[in-house]
Amino acid sequence: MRRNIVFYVTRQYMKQNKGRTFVTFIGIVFMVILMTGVFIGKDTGIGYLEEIAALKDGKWHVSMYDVTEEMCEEAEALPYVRETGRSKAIGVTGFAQSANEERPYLNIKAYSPVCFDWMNIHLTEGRLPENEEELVLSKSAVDDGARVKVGDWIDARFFKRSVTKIDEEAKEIIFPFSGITLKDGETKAVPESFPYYGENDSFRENIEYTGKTGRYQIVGVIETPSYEDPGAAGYTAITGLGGQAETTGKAGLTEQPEDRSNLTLLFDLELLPPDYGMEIHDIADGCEVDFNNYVLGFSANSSESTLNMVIRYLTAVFVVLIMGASVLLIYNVFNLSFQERSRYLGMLCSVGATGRQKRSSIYYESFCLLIFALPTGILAGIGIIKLAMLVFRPLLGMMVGIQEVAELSPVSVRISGENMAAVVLVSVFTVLISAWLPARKIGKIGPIECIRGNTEKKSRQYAMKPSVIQAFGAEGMLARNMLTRQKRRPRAAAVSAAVFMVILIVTVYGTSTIHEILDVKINRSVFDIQTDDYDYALYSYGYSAEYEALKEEIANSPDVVSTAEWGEGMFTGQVPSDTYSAEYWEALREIFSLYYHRDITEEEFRKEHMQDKSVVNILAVDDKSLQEIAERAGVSAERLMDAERPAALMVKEGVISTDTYRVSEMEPKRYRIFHIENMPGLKPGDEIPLELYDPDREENVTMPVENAGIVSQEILSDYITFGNDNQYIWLLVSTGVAREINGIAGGRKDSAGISPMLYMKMDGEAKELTGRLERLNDIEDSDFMFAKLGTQENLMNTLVRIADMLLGCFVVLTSVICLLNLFNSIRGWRDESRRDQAVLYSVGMTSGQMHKMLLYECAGIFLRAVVWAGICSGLLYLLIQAGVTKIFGNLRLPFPLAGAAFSAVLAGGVLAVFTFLVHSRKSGIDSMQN
Amino acid sequence: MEILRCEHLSKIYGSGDTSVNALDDVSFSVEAGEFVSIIGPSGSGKSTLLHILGGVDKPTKGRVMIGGTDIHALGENKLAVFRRRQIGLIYQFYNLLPVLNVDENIVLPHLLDGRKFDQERLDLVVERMGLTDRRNHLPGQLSGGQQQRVSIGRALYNHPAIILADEPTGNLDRRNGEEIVHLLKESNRSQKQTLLIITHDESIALQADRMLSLEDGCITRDERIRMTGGGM
Repeated sequence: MRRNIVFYVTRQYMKQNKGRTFVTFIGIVFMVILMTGVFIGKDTGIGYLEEIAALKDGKWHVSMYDVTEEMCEEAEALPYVRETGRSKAIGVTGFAQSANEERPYLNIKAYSPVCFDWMNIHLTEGRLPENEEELVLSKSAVDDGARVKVGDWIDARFFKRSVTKIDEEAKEIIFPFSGITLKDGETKAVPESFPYYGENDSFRENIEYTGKTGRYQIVGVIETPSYEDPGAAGYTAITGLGGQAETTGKAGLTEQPEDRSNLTLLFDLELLPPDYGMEIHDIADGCEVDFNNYVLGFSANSSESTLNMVIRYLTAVFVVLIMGASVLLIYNVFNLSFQERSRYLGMLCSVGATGRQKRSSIYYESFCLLIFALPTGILAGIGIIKLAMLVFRPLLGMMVGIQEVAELSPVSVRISGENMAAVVLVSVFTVLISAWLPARKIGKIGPIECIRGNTEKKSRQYAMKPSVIQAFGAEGMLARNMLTRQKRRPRAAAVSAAVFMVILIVTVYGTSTIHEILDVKINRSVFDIQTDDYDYALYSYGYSAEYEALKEEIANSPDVVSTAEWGEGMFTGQVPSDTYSAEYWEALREIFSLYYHRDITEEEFRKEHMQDKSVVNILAVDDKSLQEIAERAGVSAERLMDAERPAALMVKEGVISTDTYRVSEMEPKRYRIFHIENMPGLKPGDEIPLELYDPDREENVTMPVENAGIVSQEILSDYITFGNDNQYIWLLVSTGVAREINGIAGGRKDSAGISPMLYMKMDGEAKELTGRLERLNDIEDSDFMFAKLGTQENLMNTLVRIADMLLGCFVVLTSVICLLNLFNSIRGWRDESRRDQAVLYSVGMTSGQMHKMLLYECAGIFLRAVVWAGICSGLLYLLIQAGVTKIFGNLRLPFPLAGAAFSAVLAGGVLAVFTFLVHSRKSGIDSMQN
Repeated sequence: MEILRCEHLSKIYGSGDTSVNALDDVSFSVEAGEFVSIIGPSGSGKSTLLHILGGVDKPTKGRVMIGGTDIHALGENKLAVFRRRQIGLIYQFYNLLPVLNVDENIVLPHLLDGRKFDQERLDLVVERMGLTDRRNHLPGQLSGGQQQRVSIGRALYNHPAIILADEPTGNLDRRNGEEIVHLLKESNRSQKQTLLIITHDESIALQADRMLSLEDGCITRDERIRMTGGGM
């Protein structure tokens, strides 16, 4: 005898309906795979991304500079600090063996052993220092021809560097990259990265010996550290730090005070509290703290709390989406088989089965499927993660062209107990929820309704609609009635199609959201000129006679197919503040309010913070491109080309954020970005009173420029794109006008004019010409730079691409669940329509008519799905937007209309294909028999 | 005049050891306006024969001529058109479309022909079938007898040359069964429509002009009970 007849009958039912059981099983497996991907794959992926991110600045998490021993101890005692390392800036010493006159010094640092690993210090020769008498030298010194080898000794005599202004004629001397401004007779200390200028008439470099000395043996050569500035006067050399050497080592002569050192921390990320950044800052008590956000960001632990929130928010959204899709899939399966199931359960019920027993049948079926699907899904998920990571590795190498990626250790899947438990729990919960709804429904139905199969009968009447017959024929009437009078069957298909669309739309939206966030937070480019058609670029400081001669030679060279001359003049001019729109000033006022942590009134802003003049950037556009842009913008190109009466196009949009606009050393209340729709406050035809600094006359000269028109970034997108660091108006001028501007502003190395960029397309390799141009780079104090153009991938682009790939995988896997769901629903719908189909054939319906009717039904289901998907995705869009907007302010996140259209087309296509796929003519006779 | 003729009809289901010979060399013909009953035990091949005659199933061998047309030699579409114009099929389990109301089910073959339905004719059929007050109901809202009347109405609406009924009363009580047979007979008499009816009920079979007995897929008896169109 069977122990449990309900379970036995359920098993038999599952065997009889193998196809449906299999599809449900596969659906649950995919759900588990996705959950594995979310919980285990996320950890593995993030770990791997952290490793890649660590290639940039190292794998350390936080560095605290010039901290006291007490601060170090306090930081080391933090529960989430896993390991610490110490380092010290020992000081600068002369490097007599240097072969590069511009780099005559050594910047000596001391690292405790772990720091070498954390800071990506890789040996190319020898070994790492084991004590404070040994050091490793940067390969850049060796590459420059330094006369040293491993085993040599270096005698160090440490000094401090400073600069003094000696040029009495110059008002002030500015070192923009070092943030130093020297006035008459002024002397200022310079940082480690400060270049060596040698003797000159403007300023003098001073060396003040500290009286401290040291003797070091070179024991190895290291790859140039990422933090070494190639323009700095000193090469990097690192000695050991440990034991007594930390404070009183033999070299013992640190630039830092004896009681201060740098502390580097590595966290246990799982223990990291959300407000750890504040705690670290508190301990540092005003000392400089550096967060390695590239590494921390991937585990949603960056010091940038907004980014962390977004990562968590989107993870939650994706988990909910997977769960939603899975619940619908499983629920649909149970719901579709409701009629058949209700018959056998009704029979059981008629012989005494209770409601509980009926419900248990549904739960039993889900349990049977889950017990096999869970391990299958987890194992398949881990396999897919491994495979994906294996695929990513070589891909990364190709994408970034950095060898370090290939050197990373093989990817290992990170499986933790918590993650495994999360996968199991969430999967079980999802399946139980899916089974609960139909179980509840079936438990309530009595035996008679079950057996008669009229559980959903309504007593209303249905009138014939001759108008529908007239308009769409019998097929239209049949399709309409099928859809409206027997809702359950097509509704399941419509819901599945809607879910498919919603998942696609929301994922596309989520992807674009992540893109936007990464773009806003990481990619802060100013502008990018479209140079795909060109191979090389020649950069010059100005339109000098040498440049013009070179340009002519290049243009006339048979090796050159075409050239385009652009010019960049950032911060070249100034304009009165009313040149900027009220929208711009309002955004700036809000930025100030964020920095001052209070609402700054318009009056206060005008009085205290608004300046009379503001910067404008100038871009000299290649003549041919300018003509095309003018045509698109409906502006006279001739007017723009007229150098005697200068005119410019003003770029309409701009972006300003708390990241790109800093107010002294203050920290803003929160991150906020403003996309300004109208930067210029002028109308076409107005005069732009452009002020240029004439370095010869040492005064500002006004050059009136006519505003020829305002041009949107959309019109410019084929020629130039602007990034998220564009807080000033861009003026687009012809190269002729640019030359006029440089006639005032100088256009030399030491002036703020327009720097031309000559792009060229070569006929073949053109080795002779490129060889000659490359030699320009070697000329000392050259005014030119020659470079090969190409897609220079940086690490952040790569990370964005990886994020894209991960999202792509998510879309594919979730789509598989949705497609299974759709397929299953359509199969259920067509299965239940088989008898009707047979009847229709028996009364003389042709195949063509059947297909037409099916198409009408598909169209009806599709329209219904589009409406539901529109409502659901609209609501989800608003929800996500509200969340992201709350965090980021007015981030540009338009509804993905193209994605929505694509998903609708795809869903419609899939719906039609699946419908015709499962439609079978051979259904008639048998199904009419009972 | 001969309206239907079948020659050497065979139907084999399955293959090899498991094959079943549902029909074995069946040949007979039916005159126009004739009322023929087909009787036989369960599994004797009655329904198979009817489906083949109705063009919804294909014979393994042999041919079916209706009005001089070999229906199984027609292409799929032509056969469908032929079926909806020339044949009225009535099933034991009615086989109505659950999403169509009474009116729509009745005019369905006509509509499939792409023709505008005749409201007067529909009213007449609905009235004859006694369904006037149920015409806006779906099949699920009707009793078995009513559903079968809709099924007959559908078969009659198009004036088919031949009506094939597969145990039309098999699912009904005696009173409803009698009503259905009465409707069919009336149609046979008044419209001169050929009627082939499969039944288990000897009393119904004996009301026909001619009775065919089927056993193990073969016609074992072909008995004329009365002259075509004759009274009881």
